[in-house]
Amino acid sequence: MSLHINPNTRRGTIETFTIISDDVNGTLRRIWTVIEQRGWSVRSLLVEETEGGVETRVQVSPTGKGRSVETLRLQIERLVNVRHVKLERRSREKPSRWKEIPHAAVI
Amino acid sequence: MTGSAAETLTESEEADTEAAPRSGAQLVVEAILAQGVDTVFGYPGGAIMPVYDALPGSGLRHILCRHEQGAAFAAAAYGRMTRKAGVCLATSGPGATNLVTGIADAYMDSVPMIAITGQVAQPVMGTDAFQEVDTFGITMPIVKHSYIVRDAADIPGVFAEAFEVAESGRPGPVLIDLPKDVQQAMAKAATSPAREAQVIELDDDGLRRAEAAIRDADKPLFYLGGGITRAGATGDVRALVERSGIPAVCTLHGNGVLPTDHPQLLGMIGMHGARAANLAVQECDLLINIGGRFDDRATGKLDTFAPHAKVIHFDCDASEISKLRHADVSVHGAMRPAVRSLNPEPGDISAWVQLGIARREEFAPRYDAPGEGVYAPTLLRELSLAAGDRFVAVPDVGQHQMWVAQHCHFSRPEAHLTSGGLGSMGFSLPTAIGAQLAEPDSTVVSISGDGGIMMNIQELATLRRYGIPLKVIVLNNSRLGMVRQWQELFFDGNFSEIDLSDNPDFAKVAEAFGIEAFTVSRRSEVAAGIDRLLAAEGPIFMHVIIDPAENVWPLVAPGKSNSEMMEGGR
Ligand SMILES: Cc1ncc(C[n+]2csc(CCOP(=O)(O)OP(=O)(O)O)c2C)c(N)n1
Repeated sequence: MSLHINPNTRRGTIETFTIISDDVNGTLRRIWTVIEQRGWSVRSLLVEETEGGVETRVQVSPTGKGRSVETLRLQIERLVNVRHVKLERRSREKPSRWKEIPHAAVI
Repeated sequence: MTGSAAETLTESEEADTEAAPRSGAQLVVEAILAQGVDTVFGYPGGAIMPVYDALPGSGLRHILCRHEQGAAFAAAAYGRMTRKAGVCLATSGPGATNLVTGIADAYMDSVPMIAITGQVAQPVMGTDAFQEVDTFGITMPIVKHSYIVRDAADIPGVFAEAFEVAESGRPGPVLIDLPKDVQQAMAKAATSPAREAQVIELDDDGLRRAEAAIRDADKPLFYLGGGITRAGATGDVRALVERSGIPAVCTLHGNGVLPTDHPQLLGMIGMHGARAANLAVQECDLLINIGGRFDDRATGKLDTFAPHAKVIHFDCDASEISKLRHADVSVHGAMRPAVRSLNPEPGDISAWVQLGIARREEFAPRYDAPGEGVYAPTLLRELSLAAGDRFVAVPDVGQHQMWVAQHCHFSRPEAHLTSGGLGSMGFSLPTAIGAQLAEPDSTVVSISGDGGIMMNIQELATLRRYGIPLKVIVLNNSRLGMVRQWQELFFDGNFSEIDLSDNPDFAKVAEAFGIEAFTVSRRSEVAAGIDRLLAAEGPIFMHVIIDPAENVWPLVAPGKSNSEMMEGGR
C-alpha cells in the first residue's frame, strides 16, 4: 500500500506566533481550537512557564484559502486569558525547528 | 431589622454574616441575582439538582422551558432585547448538548448570554460517568469564554467575570460548567478582585482619516450592521447619518437602526436585499461600515462586492477589520464615542442622493399581488404597521424570515430578532418567549414556517403555563419553502424531501396546548385575522395557509455578485 499524503499536510507557508497568556487551565486548548477553526493548522507548539504566565510558541500553516495571518493573530489575541500575541516572522517555507508536541500532551 | 438594630452589630459580626458558609448552589443563585437578573430559563436534571434545590424562595424566577434548546434561545432573547446577558440552566450530558444550538446562535450573532451546565462530580470526571460529556470542549468553538468551576469559593468571582465578559466589548455567550460536588460543597465566598473593564482609547487618527475620506468621496454610503445594536449606539448612529446627509443601506441585523421608512435608507442589502440598496453598494466610491462584518449573505461574491469603494470600517472587534474586505481606514474601539466624534462633511453629493431615492421608489416592493390566496409579504407589512412602534417581529428561518426582513416596518433594531449568523430553524418561538418576558409591554410576534415551528413547538406549553401574551403566526406553505425555492432555481426543479403536506392541523395542535387558535386561508380574512391577533390579551396562534409556489425576490444566487439580482414571480 502506498502512502498518499493528504494535501492538507503539504502545507505552504509557516507562520510563527509567540503567545503570552495567563496560566489558566484550558487556555492552550482554546488557542489550539481557534487556530484549527479559523482555517489554519497547528504544526508545532512549545509551551513554557514564565513568571506569572505561560509563553506559547506555535507554528501554523493555512488550510483555508486567502487567510490573513494578522486576522488570526487578532482572533487569538481576543481570547480572554491571552495577553499578547506576536507574529515572530512571516511566511517561512522551511520546516519547523521546534519539535512537534502531540495535542494531548499540552492540554 | 430596624436601622438602629443593624447598627448594634459589630463590624466583625457583620463581616461574619456576609461570609457565612453556603452551598455552591446557593452561591450560584446569589451570584445570578447580584447581576440584577430576575429570570432564568432552564430544565432540571441530575447534575444540576443542587442548583434547582436552591431556587425555591430565592427570588430568582425560573421559566421551565420544554427543551433546553428553547431555554437557550429564550435566554439569548433577553440579551438581544436588553444587552444584558440572559441566563439558561441545564443538566450535564444531554441537557448540555441540547443547549449547543442556542449557544452557537448567540455566538454567531454576538449576543450576551450565560449558559450554566451541571457536570458530573469531579472525582468521576473523565470516567465516562453517567451523563458525562465534555461540555467545556464541545462548546469551546462557540463561546466567547468558558469556565469549569473547581472550587465553590470561586463561584462569585467566576460569575461576576462571566457576566462582564459576556456583555463587554463584542458580546457573546459564556459557559459555566459546574461539577455537582462543587454545587454541594459548603464554602465561604472568596472575594475576588473585579475584572478591570477594558478601556479602548478613541482612535482619533482613524476618525480624522475617515473624515478626509468622506470629504473626498463623490458617492459615499453608510453600511449599517448589527454591531450598532450590540453597542447600544442606535441613537448615535441615527444622529450621525442625519447630520451627514449620506444615504445608507443596512444588513439583516442592521434593520431598524434607521426606521424602515427613513428618507436616507435605501434598504437591506444582500442575497434578498433591496435592489436600490445592492446597486448603491456596487456603485458607491466610499463604504462606511459601522458594526457590520461583511457576512457572505450580505456581500455576495466578495471579489465583486463594492468594486469601486474605499472602505471605512468601525468595529469594536479588531479581528473583524480587514478579515474579509480590506479596510482603507479602520476605526477600532467603542462605537458610541467614535460615532459621536465623527464629523462628516461630504461635498456635493446631491445627484448621488437623488439617484438612491429614485431607485428606492422605482424598485419598491409591490403589494398588489393578484389572486384570492394570502400573500405573505402583504400580511407581514400590514401586521407590522397595525402593531405600531411596540412591534417586535421574531421570524424563524426560511422564506418567511426574508419576507419579514423585506416587508415589515421596524422602528428600532430590537423590533427584529432574527437568527442571522447561524440561521437556525426553531429559533422563533422560544426567542419570542424570551423577548416577551424581557419587554412585557411590547407586541411580540413569533412568525414561523410550517417546518421551523415543529422544531420547538413544545414551547407552546411554556406559553400556556406562564400565560405569556405572545402572538404566534405559522405561515404554512406545506413545504420547506426556502429549500424548495433553491431546488426549483438551482437544482433543476428536483424537489427532494421538502414536502410537508402531511403536516398536522396546526390550529388544533395549538388548541391542544390550551392556546386560542384560528386559521386564515383567504386574503379576505387577513385584516380580521390581524385584528384578532393584536386584540388578544393572552397567547394566540394564527395559522395561515399560503401558496407553496411563492418565492422570495429579489435573489442573488449563491456565489454571484450582488449586481446580478434575479427577479421573478408576480
Ligand atoms: C435547524 C436547521 N435545519 C435545517 C435548516 C436548513 N433550512 C433553511 S430554510 C429551511 C426551510 C424552512 O422551511 P419552513 O420552516 O417551512 O419555512 P419557509 O422557508 O417555508 O418559510 C431549511 C430546511 C436550517 N436553517 N436550520
